[in-house]
Amino acid sequence: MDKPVLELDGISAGYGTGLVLQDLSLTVDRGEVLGIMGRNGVGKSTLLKTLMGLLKVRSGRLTFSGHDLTNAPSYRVAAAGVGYVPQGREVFPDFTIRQNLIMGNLKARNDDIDAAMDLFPVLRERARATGGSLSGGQQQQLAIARALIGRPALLVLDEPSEGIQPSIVREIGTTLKQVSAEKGMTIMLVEQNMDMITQCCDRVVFLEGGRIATSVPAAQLLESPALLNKYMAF
Amino acid sequence: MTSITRRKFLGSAAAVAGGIAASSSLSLPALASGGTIKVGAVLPFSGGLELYGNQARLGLDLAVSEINGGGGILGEKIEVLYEDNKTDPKTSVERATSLIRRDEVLALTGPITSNARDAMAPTIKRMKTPLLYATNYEGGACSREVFCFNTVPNQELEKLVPALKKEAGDSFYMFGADYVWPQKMFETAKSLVESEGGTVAGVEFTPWGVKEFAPVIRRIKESGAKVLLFALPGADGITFIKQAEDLGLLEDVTVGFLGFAETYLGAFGEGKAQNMWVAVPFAESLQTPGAQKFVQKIRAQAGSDVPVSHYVMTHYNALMAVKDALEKAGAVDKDALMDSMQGLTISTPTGPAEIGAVDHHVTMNMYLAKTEGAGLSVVEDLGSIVPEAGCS
Amino acid sequence: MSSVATIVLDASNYALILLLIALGLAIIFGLMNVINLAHGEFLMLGAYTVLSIQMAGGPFWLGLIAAPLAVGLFGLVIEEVVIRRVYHRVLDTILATWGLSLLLKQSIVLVFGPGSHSIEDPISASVMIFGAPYPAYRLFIMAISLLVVTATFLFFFKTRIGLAARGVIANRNMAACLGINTRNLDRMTFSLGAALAGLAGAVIAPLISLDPHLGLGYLVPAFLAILVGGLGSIMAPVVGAAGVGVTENLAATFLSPVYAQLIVFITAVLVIRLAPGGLLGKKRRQT
Repeated sequence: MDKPVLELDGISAGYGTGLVLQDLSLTVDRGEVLGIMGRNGVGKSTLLKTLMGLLKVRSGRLTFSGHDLTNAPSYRVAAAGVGYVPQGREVFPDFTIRQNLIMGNLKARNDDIDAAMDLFPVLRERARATGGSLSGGQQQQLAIARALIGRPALLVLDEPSEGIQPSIVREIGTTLKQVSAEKGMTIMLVEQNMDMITQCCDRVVFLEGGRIATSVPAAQLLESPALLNKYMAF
Repeated sequence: MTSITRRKFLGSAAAVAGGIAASSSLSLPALASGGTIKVGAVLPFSGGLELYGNQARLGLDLAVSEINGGGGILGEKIEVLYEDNKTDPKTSVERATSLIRRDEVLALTGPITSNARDAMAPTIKRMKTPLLYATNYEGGACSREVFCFNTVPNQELEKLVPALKKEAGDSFYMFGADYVWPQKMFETAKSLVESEGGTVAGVEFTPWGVKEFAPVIRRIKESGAKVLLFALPGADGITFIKQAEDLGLLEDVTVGFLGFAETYLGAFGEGKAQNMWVAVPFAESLQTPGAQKFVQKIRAQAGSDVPVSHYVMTHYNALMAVKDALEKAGAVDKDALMDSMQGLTISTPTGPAEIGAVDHHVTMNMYLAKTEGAGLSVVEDLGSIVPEAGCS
Repeated sequence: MSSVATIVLDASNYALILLLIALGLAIIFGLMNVINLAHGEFLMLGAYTVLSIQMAGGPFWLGLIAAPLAVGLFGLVIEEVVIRRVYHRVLDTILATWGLSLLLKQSIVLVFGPGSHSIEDPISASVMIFGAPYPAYRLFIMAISLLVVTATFLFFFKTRIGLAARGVIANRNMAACLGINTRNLDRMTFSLGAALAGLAGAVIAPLISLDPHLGLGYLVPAFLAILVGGLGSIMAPVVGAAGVGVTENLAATFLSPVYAQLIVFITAVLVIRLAPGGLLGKKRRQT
């Protein structure tokens, strides 16, 4: 069996003096599409931010593709092969679509940019528009393309369906599935949207109390509403 | 409000502490100082005007070694305690207070700037300690405690204005820094120019720290003035003169540089800033035996390349006056010193100088000079000029 | 009254000098959120580099090239030794750079003495412009400033590293998460800002009295320029320096230097009051 591509071992992290993640351990296998679910405030975004080096790891160890990335600066995490699509998308509003894509990979050549635009044709149609002038769905597609242009081994997405119309959510889901299958890319997807989770994911973990409460194959999810009730209802 | 109360508290606490320190050490210096008379020097050794602080120190150091070498004053040695006021009035007051209280100095000398002197004035008065001020200034510092050993406006201007009028022309422009010394200077200059039958083409001031003088330079140029009376001391003044040279102003006007000293020489660059006229109580190029001997003694002590400006001499004079005054009084105390200095005539490197009996300002010889080559050359001995101290 | 051409030249000359100084400040602040109170002393170091070379018998032009290199290198070292340890705490950067400015001034006093020095005019000729002579060196300054400012803008707006730098200004965290090496960019930025100050110092050296306090007289209007232009934009200093420089110069031309300073301060306060982000400013992201 392959070594897991990502290993979180007893991670504690949070904001200020409070800890949101407490002794969290998680492994993700190469090529796996992992859904991360849980109630609001349970630490899903915190988990991704910690992974990206945006939050300090107070204790524990974070290993990616054999590199120890515990408390590595964000740019080293990215350079090690992690692509990040944050909540709220955070495209550069004053940059054109093309410039936004280049930000994802300063060494991108024209065919790299073409390939990224192939994933989401709307980006090509509006290539000269600025990021800020795009609709929410288009910005989300741009943010994903921007992460993918860096050819990450692991793509992490924070609620990509948030505030986006269903047709585009489905398009995004299809693209993610396709990229994962074609390139064997690992994906971590924080999501509340069940359709998206079931469309894309192989496995789902539920967070509660700052750690992983349970892990189930995505296929089981539809058959066990009790799980959803337990970890998602308020 | 709380901060004020706290400051007051700290202030009074410091005063109490100072008092204790002073009274507890009272017996010590009284016994031990059988050997020393202390004079405190509050001077800038950092913060911008260190050049002047250093000049003053040269003169004071020489006076100390001459006095002590000649057996001291009434058998006691003299010592100058230097304190850096950082070119700052508040620090000046603190240093003055501690020199008087802790070190129990007989007199103070310094500072350089008027705002530092004015800030120290209440302390000086309250503690009844003589202040020997030896920098040229605007006049008006008159009290029992204060004695001024350098020039006031009329001493610099009285002969300089007519000389410039004769040399360059009738029309005067005045430009200086926006504070009290240039303002008083120009007030005096204006009445002198008018009484000489000249005209004032313009009077203008600038804030400190301005680096670009092209607009002013062009305005002076266009005024058609033949003489520029210039009262912008320090680096700003040098910057102005450099730019005036570049923009061709110095071809049109002759500069009367007020408050000039040899410290400026060399700051303009070789062969630059020629033919600027000044009236000074001393110049290092002055070819009288007294002046040359003084320059030699300073250079023997401080190195052959130091400029020796009038600041060196006036501070030297101030300390030598202390010696003469105490010896005349036959006693070493503050009141004796102050009483005895009134009306005293001292001998200086440029001849006798008389300390005013009422105004405490010094009547002394003045010299007309101009910048030439790399130095300042004396054009004329102006004789002694009585200060109009501006005491009401 | 001077000819219009002369007034325009004088005002542009001053505005372009301010721009050269403000640009370095703005780049450092924009990328790193560091308010560099030692910028005036970087200027001073540039001028003293020229002085050192003059004292060693070298030509002015060598100093002009050496100054930005030396000060840029110095900036690189300072970034590594001081700035990088404090840059995420704004107050600490102010204290650290203020301390640095005192240290630099004092070091210059120790090495060169407190007095004024002078740099020989590298070009003493005048050029006739619309019938009035104008010092050629002032024209040269304007050309250098235009050239360097243009090159800086080309770098920021036409290269990918420049794009990355602007990305860091807009959203440092996101840029870092995309793999932009913010550490190297910080080094480069601080060094570039310092080099620009060094160059500015070298260029203005022949116009002014060289003394350890020369920085302040330029730092204040340069700060006003970036406040007026707007924080967090690389274009801002252009607008700000033009605004501050031209206003001050014209007010000094038609009124007096005292009013000029007053008018500049009042105008600046009004602009900042009415448009708190500056003329080109926009709301900055909280990092």
